[in-house]
Amino acid sequence: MRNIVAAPRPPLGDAKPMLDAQTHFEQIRDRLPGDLQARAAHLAAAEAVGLPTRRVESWHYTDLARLLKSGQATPVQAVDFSSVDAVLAHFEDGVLQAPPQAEGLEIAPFAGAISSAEAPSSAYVMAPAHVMADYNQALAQNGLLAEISGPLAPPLVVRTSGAENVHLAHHIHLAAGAKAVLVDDHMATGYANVVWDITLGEGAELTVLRSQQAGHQVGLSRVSLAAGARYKSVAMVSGGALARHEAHVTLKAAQAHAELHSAVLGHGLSKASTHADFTYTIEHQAADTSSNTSAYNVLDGHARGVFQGKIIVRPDAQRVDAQMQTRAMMLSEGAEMDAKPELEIYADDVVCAHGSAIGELDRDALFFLRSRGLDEATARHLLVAAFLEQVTSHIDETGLSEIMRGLVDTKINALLGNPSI
Amino acid sequence: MSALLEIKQLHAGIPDKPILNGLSLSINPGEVHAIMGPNGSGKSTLSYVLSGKSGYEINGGSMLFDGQELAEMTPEARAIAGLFLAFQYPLEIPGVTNMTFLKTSLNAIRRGRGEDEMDAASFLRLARAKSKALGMDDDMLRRQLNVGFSGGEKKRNEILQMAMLEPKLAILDETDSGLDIDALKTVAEGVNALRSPERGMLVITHYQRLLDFIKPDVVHVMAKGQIVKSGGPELALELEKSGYAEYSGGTEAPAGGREAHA
Amino acid sequence: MSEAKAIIESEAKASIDKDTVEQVAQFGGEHYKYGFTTDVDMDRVENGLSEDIIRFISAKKDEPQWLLDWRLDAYERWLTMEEPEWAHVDYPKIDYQDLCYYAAPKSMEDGPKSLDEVDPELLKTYEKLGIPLIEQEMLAGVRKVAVDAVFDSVSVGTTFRDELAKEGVIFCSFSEAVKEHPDLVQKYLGSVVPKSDNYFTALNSAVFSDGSFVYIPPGVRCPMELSTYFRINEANTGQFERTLVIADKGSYVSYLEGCTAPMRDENQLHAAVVELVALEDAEIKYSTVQNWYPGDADGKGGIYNFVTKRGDCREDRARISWTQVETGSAVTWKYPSCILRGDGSSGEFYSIAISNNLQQVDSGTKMIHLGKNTSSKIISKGISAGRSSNCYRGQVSVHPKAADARNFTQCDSLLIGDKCAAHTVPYIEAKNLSAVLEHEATTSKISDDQLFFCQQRGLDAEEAVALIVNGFCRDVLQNLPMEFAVEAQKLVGISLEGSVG
Repeated sequence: MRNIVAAPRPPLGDAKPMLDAQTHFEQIRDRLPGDLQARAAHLAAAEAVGLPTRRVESWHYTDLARLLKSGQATPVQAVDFSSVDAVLAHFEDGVLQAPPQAEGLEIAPFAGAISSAEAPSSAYVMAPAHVMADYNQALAQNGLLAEISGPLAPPLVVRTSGAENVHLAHHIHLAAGAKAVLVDDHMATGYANVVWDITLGEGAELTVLRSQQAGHQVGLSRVSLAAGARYKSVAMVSGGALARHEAHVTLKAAQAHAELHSAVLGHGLSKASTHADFTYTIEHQAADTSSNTSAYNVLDGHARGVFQGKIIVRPDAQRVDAQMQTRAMMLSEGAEMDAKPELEIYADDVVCAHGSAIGELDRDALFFLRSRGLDEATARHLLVAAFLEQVTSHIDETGLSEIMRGLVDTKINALLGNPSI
Repeated sequence: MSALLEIKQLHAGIPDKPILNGLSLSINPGEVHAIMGPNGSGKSTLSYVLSGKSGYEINGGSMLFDGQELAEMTPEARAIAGLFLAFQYPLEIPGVTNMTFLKTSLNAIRRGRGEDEMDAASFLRLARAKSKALGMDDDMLRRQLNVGFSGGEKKRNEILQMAMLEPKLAILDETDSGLDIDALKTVAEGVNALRSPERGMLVITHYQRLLDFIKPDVVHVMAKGQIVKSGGPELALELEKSGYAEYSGGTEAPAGGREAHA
Repeated sequence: MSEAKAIIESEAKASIDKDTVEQVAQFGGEHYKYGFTTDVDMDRVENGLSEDIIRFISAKKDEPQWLLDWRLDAYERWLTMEEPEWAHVDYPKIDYQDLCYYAAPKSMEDGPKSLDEVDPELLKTYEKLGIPLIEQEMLAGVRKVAVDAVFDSVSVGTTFRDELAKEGVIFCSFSEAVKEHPDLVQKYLGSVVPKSDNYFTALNSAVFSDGSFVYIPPGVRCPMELSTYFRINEANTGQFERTLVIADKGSYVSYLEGCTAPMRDENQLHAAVVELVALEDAEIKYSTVQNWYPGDADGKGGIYNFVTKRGDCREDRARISWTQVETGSAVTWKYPSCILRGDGSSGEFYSIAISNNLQQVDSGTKMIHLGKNTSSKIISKGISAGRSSNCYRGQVSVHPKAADARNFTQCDSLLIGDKCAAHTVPYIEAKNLSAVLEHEATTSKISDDQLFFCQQRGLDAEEAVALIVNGFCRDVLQNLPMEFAVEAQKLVGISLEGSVG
């Protein structure tokens, strides 16, 4: 059964899937690939616990049930990747429009609910958000199953669009020594529960660029790194009522290195405001591993930024270097930032640090720029752009970095007006 | 007169890597010896093995200090016995003031020697006098140990510690590294002021330049973990001209009296 | 001589840790020196918790009806609550029915009128602990310290009361305050920490036995340090004390708290509540050296220290500063906090938490910014050694109306050995545009090079560790009153004994 190519669009039902998952499941069950019993088991497991409430520690700042009722479905413009010769895997309302083709890339048919063999739960991860993953496994109608065997020359763009409620389960495996750049271009205006299971073989290198412009997304990335593997994620949230980006990164062997950088440009008033939540668990299981995390939030209107980052260094994981930085720039009354950068250290020979700074746009810097002749709007634009540049500067790929910078600039213009720079 | 330090056929190194290969050396009270040698010849290892840094294995030979076998002593026991190492890279200890550190160290050593501890007022007078002699600001005594010190300040601080602790044998490990000529002169003056008929010194250096200011009685050339040649001060000048080529297999640049590298 | 003295004094200020090593050396080999027990006839109620026990405690203290009702209400709420599990601590379930909730020396039954009438055995206990209960003339230059001594469930006596009374300062046991100043007690009790704030406050509110009460009248700068010394003596007893400090407008008080207990094989529960109220322009400085018995090297015995401490900067420009040195207890669960309600009010939290062997610490603070122009500062130094676990948990919260709030947080962890754990869990919440919140955290270890360097200068390994750790803690030690700082430094050394090979 090849259900990965464009097929007649199956209507997926209009029930709010997260608020009534059981009904949603009944409506679409005939069209779901794979083992229905396994799916039903996942659903039962999820329903037994229910949607995470604020009483669940890792959801303390994100009131899921409330946020799912908020927001407006404003269509957004697709990011133009034509300048970088990307291969595209486009999921429109959960349906893959055409399978991506490139040398070194192998796509397998989506076989339905794939129980993740490797749950990230360990004694060191408290209350993992398995509930959302269970819902995903029960209801996933599609996903990209990609095996990357060598250096993948073009960037692989996975675009999610449409207004339907979707569940997608992606599996990306990079073989030893493979290299790839993946773009997660999220422009869907509906609800999306997306799980990424990513495994990197020895010495493999993966860069993931994420953009969310709209919709309600509950995303979970489970990433495991073998010896010498490198994972870099650079995420940009510029819109949407809910952007929950959760990542569990496990560094399993020496010289593995992970970087997670995020930028938020939040805006909008009351129910139309952005809620961006980056929640990371970075677990150093082995000695001589390193990680570097940064989160930059620009919050206007009633936008709310949440950053929860937990660095775990397991016993005997000596010589770990783990750094974590959170910054927030508040642009208006009514904006809110919540940060919880955690360290959980069980080895002594480590260099672990986190820092957090929350404040307004720097008035002194604003004054300095104006004293050098810039008008206020231009100066503000410059300072906001400089702030977010700390994230975009992590994109090494020239063509893509320009595209992402362009996106940031467009969004800042939309937010602050278009000054003359 | 028995030697202050008597090293015989010393074999030592780190696990699986011999560095000192049968080194012998004898220093009498009042003598200043210089050890010169190319990088990697084992100079710093010698200073660490003598002062008891962990991580080194002693595989043979003996090191008698004042008649006592050093290998059997803890680092602090060696300090109490009168052995002082001026570190090539002095350590920073945040939160501990220089003054506190000096007093703690001095009294630990006095206690170890069965002497009375020094009261606060006498200590302060002494510390101030000694630091003044080294051209150090009072302020340096109040600052946290080596935190934010320049390279020259750190080295001067090492000499201050030496002046306070009045050791029988001082080992100066590459004390000239990272110093400009003025700082070097100040440090050397400090060292020279401490020369005395009872005190021995072992000056370890890569460059001859330091020896213009601290005149040694004996100069040794060290290569591949051994003393390969010994002589008077003229040996250092010879080395300045010919370099270490004949000792290190021809790859090392001449050890001229030019500006040292940090 | 006067010059030398001036030098010494300036040095003492510049370098609080100057005499550390000598002091540590004096304690050489001495472990928990407060582990002795006092043998006096005790009046103790049977184990277990019920309405009857609460009525018994209340009757014992001759309390007014409102307070009994208050206790019973707390008890009812407690019955519906569950023990918190979110902290990074792990201990066997406590059987609350197997604890004794009231134990007092029989000799206190008759209520001795002054310290002269107190059982000499009790006075000797405090003498042994180094706590002077005699109002002796102090040597010139040494500040006077008034002491309230709490022995298990009762206050044994309070010194310097008359002298303090001349200034209008009230310093007495909580039980006396209920009798003599009921209006003040009723007005402020539970006004900072509500009865049902958490499981342990509900328990404490139901069964609290004694503690200290302080009231500083408007404009008065308390002429001496006030202190309470808590001693658990009886086996199998919980200590549930209650401290209430009120600083009226424009007043100032510095308050010290010390705690010790005998070495016993079984665990003992200490669940205290401390409430501070600072009115307009008032300042309260509250320092604790917590040295409860930590259990032995194998984790047997020791105190469970589940304490709720909170200060309310209720009016404008009020200031509250917490300083704590936590070296004892088997399990510590404690978050001295500040509610910054008044405009321009400020809160501070300075903490040293040391854990060795199998000790577990989960401690930190909350700074709740409600008023405008409020500021807070948090300096936390956690040191873990042995197989212990040490967690900093702190919250900085800026509410929507708290314009121009400022916070600076520095929390550093030092690990000694590779079997211990250090955690940092900060919650930083900004709901106001103009908030400026800075947070930094680091984790480090004592490097072999640092140790070797100290050893090369003649220190043995333990002296070297004590020196380096005191340096690490310096920012906090400097903030303690001098008398406490010296004790704290000794404790740092002793607590870490055996932590390096």
